[in-house]
Amino acid sequence: MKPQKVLLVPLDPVHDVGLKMIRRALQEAGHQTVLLPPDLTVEEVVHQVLKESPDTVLVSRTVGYGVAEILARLVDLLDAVGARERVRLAVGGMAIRPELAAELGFDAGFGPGTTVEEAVAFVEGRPYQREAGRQEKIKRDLTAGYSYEYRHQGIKEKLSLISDMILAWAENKTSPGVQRAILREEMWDVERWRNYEPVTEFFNEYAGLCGEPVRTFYLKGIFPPKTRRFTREEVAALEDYVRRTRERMIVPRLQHTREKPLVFNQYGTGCPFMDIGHIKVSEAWGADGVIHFDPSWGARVEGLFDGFLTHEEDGTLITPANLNRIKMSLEPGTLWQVRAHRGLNTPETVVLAGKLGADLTKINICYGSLGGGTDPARMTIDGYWAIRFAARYNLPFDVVTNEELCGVPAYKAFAGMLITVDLALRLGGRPILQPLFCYSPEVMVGGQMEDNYVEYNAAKILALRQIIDAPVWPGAPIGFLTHTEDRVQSSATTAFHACAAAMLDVDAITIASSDEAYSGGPISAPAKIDTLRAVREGFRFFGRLKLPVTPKMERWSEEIVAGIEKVLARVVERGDFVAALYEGLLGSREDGAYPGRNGRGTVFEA
Amino acid sequence: MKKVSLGIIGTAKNTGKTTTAIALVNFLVDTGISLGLTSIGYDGERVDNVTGLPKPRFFAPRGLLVATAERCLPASSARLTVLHELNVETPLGRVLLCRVSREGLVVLAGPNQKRHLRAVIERLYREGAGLTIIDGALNRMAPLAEADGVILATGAAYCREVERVARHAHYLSVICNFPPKAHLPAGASFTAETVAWDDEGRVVARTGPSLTELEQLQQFFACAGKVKFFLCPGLILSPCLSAMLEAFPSGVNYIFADPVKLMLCGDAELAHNFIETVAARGGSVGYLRPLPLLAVTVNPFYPQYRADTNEYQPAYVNREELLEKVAALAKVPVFDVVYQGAETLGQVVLDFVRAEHTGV
Repeated sequence: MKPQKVLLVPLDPVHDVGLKMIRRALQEAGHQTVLLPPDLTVEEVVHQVLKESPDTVLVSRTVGYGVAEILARLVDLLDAVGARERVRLAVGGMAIRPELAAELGFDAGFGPGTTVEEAVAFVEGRPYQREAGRQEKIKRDLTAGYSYEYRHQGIKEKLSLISDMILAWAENKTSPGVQRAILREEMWDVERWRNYEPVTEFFNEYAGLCGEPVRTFYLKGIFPPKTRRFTREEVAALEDYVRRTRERMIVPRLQHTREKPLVFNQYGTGCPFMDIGHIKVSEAWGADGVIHFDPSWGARVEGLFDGFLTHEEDGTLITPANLNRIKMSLEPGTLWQVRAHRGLNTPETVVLAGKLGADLTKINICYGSLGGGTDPARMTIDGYWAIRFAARYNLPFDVVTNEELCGVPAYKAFAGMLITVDLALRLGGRPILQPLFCYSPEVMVGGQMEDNYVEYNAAKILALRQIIDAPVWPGAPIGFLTHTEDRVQSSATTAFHACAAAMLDVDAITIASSDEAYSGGPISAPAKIDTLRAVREGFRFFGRLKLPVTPKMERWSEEIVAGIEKVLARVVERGDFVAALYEGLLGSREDGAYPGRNGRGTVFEA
Repeated sequence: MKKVSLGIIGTAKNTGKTTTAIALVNFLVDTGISLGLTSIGYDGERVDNVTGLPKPRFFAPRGLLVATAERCLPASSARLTVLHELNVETPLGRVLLCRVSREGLVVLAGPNQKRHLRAVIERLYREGAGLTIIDGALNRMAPLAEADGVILATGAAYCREVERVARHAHYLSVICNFPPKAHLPAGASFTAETVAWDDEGRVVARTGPSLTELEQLQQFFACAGKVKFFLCPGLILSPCLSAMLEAFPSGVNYIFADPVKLMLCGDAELAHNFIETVAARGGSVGYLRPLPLLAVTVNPFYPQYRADTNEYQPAYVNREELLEKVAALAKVPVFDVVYQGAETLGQVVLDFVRAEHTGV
């Protein structure tokens, strides 16, 4: 376009910073600018407009009572001198909204939050759509660019032996969870289901593979307590809510000048409708991804329900309709993770997640067994199949190490994580390392965080990087056990942890809401906003700064690497991975890890 | 039959423009006259954009023609049938010409510059509006030079001193109604320039259409003695008016585009004095396009700022005193439509419409 001449008018006595920023952008775009001094009268401005004959006049002014008349007089005089029809006229400042701009007689009004780009678009006569922001987010593959090559030979060799062990053990074994997953994989056609066609054959077989109360549901149509279908009105209201929210949705970026980390939020109120509300809040305040938090009681029950269901418990039921409704509500750029790392339905959850279009899942045999309450043998066979399905559906997954929260030291938890990672690589999966990035029981006892929360968390990341070239996604959530009931404190600590993680160049982080640890029920939307805003400010504050490596970080990371190798050596020596889990080699009762009991005795020869 | 447009100008925000427009629409809708309605600002919102105080809302009867911006339609409870989309942009989208097909509240944001208002008025006429009412915005009046007549809304929101409100109304009344329609000197033709002629119709000086700086008048003052006719088709600011009064001889005939150009000079008292002084010295002031002031409405309300709570609260000056003092000076009928209703004001408007129709 032809370069425009723009007259910048700071009618405000002091506030012309915004105009100066716009001037820089306009000059960079090749336009000619004239910035007037800030103390001219309206009449003097009119004279300047006549003298300069600009194409566009941008006025900045904070509006209070009486100021509106001054701006209106400027518009009036420009009209009376015949200049109004030749210049495009906009006003910007606090309290300016399009309605006020219309009342004042301007062509456009720019309020707080206006971008420089928006003002440039106005000058150039281009439509500027804030909604453009919704396309800005493109889903990123967290595993892209990683070779998964080992950098530590000793650990590589030991992991290889352990994977051999697991593969041999799993070869002839199965479980009801695996059988359901295979049935779901083979006989549940997602396209038929989407077309409301009957999938009777599937259900006839499926019910027999379920435990109570799921079988009762399929045979008698009876729900467990506190569980029900959504009503027709509720479904209509949800659809209306999603539509209206989508119309207004703008998805901001949190990372400022960084490319990463991507920021994940989890949801799981028990009610998919409320979950969707939480998801929309997360998206609107900049989360890059959301995590489906499955019900804890679902971890103890064989089989999944069916239908669009809500229940008054923590965590949201996994059913095809629940997942599908949630998927349909997501913005196109939002990453969606469906967790499958513990309980009796993990491989089937991965199949459903894959068929319904999830982007990521979550699998860890060791955490599922030692911190997640699932029997180690059952978790091993189900985890093995979960990984196979994740590979088939091309779902990368994080390997969570939350057994640290029980008190398992980092090196043992990491040894367990790496076992799942190596097995995944053998099976064609794309694992993501998920070290805990928090104030863990290990350091509370050991004192590594007496001075600061940074160095030991950094040491964990450095240790993992010494072992393998793989993506790192600290969680889950970061800052765990530093949160209190104080929302400001919780937001601040979340932001500090997020910034430390960013400065270590990790790929993603999972953050909690500011009331997550103390909500005593479903968390609240404002508390989600708290931490997203705090993290955004943190990222803005530190920009691309890097964290220097300190001697303590180096020493601790070496200790962790050595610890991992020792644990792996013991597992190799034991010669039986499942037995090693039961016997506490990857986290003992003394550490706080207890082999889970859900699903004990359900693994059998295929 | 000639179609008529009536503008409502205000001296400030909250002086009662919209209240006056609503009262007029409510009265006139029963007289059988076909009505059109638009605004040069933004009207019908629930609360004020600056003060946060409640605002009067437009309740539109069925059949009313309205011109309002696209984004005002969802905010209106009336059902509006779009008849035509005008090529007039506002910060709230394009201006649409609509007919109210089910009565209800309407939010109005219409054309905000003079030439756009002309296009909207013409379109309203074509759709059948016999009388178009144009609600003003704040103290803005430049676009309303396109109307055939105006009503002035003033009151405590302009100034809490009732005497000053009354004097100001008097000045505006004189500016609007005293100077007659003027004609160019014989032999001169209209150019969009400020021109001075001598008594034989020869151009003695000329400059751009608007006078915003004294410098522009230097060449006129250099031959001040010869000036007999003086035309300024654009805006003229008050320092130029005063300087002309000093520099030019008695007996000059001044021609301005319309009363709005003098009302906008920045000092209504000075413009009023200019008109009276010129006349007293044997000269004249006239307009190429007169804009009669039909009536004044007064509003005792003003928003009072409370520093302690950082908010505005409603406040009032004495209602009777305001009405009385303005009526004593305004030289046109003065009303408080909230207390008196719109009947008499409506009659004034109807008489004006009839006179325009018959060309009287």
